Amino acid sequence: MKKFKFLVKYGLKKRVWRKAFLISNIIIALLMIIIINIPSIISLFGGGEDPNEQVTINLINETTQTELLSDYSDLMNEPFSGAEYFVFTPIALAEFDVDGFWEDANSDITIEIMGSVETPIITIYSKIPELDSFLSSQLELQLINYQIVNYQSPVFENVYAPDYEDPEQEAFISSMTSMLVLPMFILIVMATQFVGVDIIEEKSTKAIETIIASVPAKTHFISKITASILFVIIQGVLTIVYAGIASLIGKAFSASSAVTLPTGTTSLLSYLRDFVPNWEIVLIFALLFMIVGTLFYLVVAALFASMAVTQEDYQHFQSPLMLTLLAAFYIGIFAPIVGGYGFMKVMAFVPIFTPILAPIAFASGLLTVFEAIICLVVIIVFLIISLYLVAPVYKVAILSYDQTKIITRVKNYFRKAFPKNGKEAKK
Amino acid sequence: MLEVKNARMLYGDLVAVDHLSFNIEPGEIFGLLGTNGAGKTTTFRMIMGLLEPTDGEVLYNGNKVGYHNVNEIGYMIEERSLLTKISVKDLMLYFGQLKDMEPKVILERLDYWLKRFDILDYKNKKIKELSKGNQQKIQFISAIINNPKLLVLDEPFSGLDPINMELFVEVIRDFQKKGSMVVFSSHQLDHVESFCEKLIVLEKGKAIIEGRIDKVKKDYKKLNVRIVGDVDVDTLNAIPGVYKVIVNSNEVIAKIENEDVAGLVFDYIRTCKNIMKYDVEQATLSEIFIAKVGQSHEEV
Repeated sequence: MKKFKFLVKYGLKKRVWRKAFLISNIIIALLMIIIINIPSIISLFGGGEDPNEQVTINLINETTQTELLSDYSDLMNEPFSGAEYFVFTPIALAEFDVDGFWEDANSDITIEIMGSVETPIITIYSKIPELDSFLSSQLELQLINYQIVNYQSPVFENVYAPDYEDPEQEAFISSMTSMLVLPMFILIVMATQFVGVDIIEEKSTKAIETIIASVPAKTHFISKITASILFVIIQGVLTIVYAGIASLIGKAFSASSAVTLPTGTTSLLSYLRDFVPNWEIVLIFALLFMIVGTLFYLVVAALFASMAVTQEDYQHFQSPLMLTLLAAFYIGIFAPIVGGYGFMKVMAFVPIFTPILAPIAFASGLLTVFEAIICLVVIIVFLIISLYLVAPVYKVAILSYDQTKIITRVKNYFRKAFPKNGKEAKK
Repeated sequence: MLEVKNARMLYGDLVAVDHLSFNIEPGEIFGLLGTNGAGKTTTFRMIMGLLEPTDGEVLYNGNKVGYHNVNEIGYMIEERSLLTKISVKDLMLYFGQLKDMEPKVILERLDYWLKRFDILDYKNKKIKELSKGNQQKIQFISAIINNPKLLVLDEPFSGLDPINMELFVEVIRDFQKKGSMVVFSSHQLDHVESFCEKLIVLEKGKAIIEGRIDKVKKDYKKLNVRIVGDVDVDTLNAIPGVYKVIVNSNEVIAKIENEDVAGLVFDYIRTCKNIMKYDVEQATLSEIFIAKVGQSHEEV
């Protein structure tokens, strides 16, 4: 146990107590600050929506208030100092064809006001749902301006096109993807690289013989994995801290800034928080997937490193591992863009893809808590099986300098680690 | 005591070590010789517990060698086995702590050994910055830093100049005096001959020579007669029992089959002029080694 603790401490110190760790963390912190505050930064440069782009609104007014259209138009365009951003067109109820409206490229919104001004029933047919709340609140404000005695809040109904997909949901999944895929991918790649390079460095210099003469191969194997996973946890926690700092910077910046930013555009984190009320559970699951998933990849990387003889040899061995990680990364990035949510959900259950895809799928609501637990159980079982398979092979391979073809070598090591009958090893 | 009892090691169908047995007592230096691939490294690995013998066993003080008694053992492998990117100090702290040593003790002993090997200035240098000879010294220090009771040295002298070789021999003798068991392999047979008491010569995993060196030499009947003076090589060659005559710049060496032939050679020498030296000596270990290994090859 003493030697195990020492090996873990040594492995961790070797990674954390380095200039490279400090430099990479400075870069990660800066990237987090930039990524999380992108909306503020874009707003600063006048990015975002183009104020010159007009929104055309058809108004069906069935109330007796004939001035409603002009009053409402004035109110809506008031902030734009004379420019007509919202262009209103009056149309009669009989002329309105819902199907035609969805096809009509020249109309963005149709507002249908039925009943009386006191108790209106308002239906908003919208191709720009993000304007809905603004339209509703301004319309209600206008109605209040008439100072009607028996005024009652209007009943609003929002209607969207049949093929409408909530852009906020899509934006959310995309945000989740960029927020989770990249750090997960980087952390897993870093961890597997560390464990692999560490083992192959000891093996290729033959220092492994002196080490294994002092500690059992199993202790060495588990200590390497433990040190790497602790490193991942430390780096993960630091990344979360950077995200928190970035969020605080964003808040401080928006509070002190002369530029008035629209609500909700100050920080990507606050934006995501609005969509994920149960973000604590999401965070816990993301961390669990990260730990278990990284452990699985570490076990495989350690196995490959033990089988390799030189650094070059290890590069060949780890190629499939890196390709698998890359595949998971691209699925995570592109599946939401092309609407492949179903595909992503299925892939999240495949253990080799689970570490990267399951946290995104869960955070973006594609997986329920129950399904996420199933994913977690599957990968834990997979991890335990791989540990049982890998540990004996590692013991055989770590002191072997067999340089036969990779496939032959792998077969030999497995055969030696798992002889057909117990006597074969003792032949 | 270290006991290797009927140890056999198979790699698939290849017999790496074939029913090998020997004992090493405390304070004894034991030589393990053999050509490349004879099974020396496999034997060392079995002694270290890195390989489980297919048959037989290896016992250290009556117990199986394992991680419970490994802290008392020092091991130096044939090739350089150092982490080249770290400093001498960090490497010793790493290897020493793997032997359950306290960092303070490691550093104290490291200073002592670096001073003794005259490389104290390299304490904070990275291993890769050191010459091959100095790396060899560091590797040797890593094997003895824990003051081992059993010292296993696989080719400790390879790549060393004569001065450093003597330094290594001196240190090994110090461990012998302290009662440590030393088992080592070497291709430099003159060194084996000069400072080890017992040996085994392996060939294809089998012991073809074993026992105390004096006995091995005695059992090997052939002798060398060194002569300085005016001798006729052809006449010398013609003496029955003289199987080879070597003419060096300052002496003639007659290789003879046994003790009886020495008398015949002496009878001839008495007839020669200017004889300055006549010396009958046992065959060198190197000769015995070459003769036995050659014989073993012929038998195959």
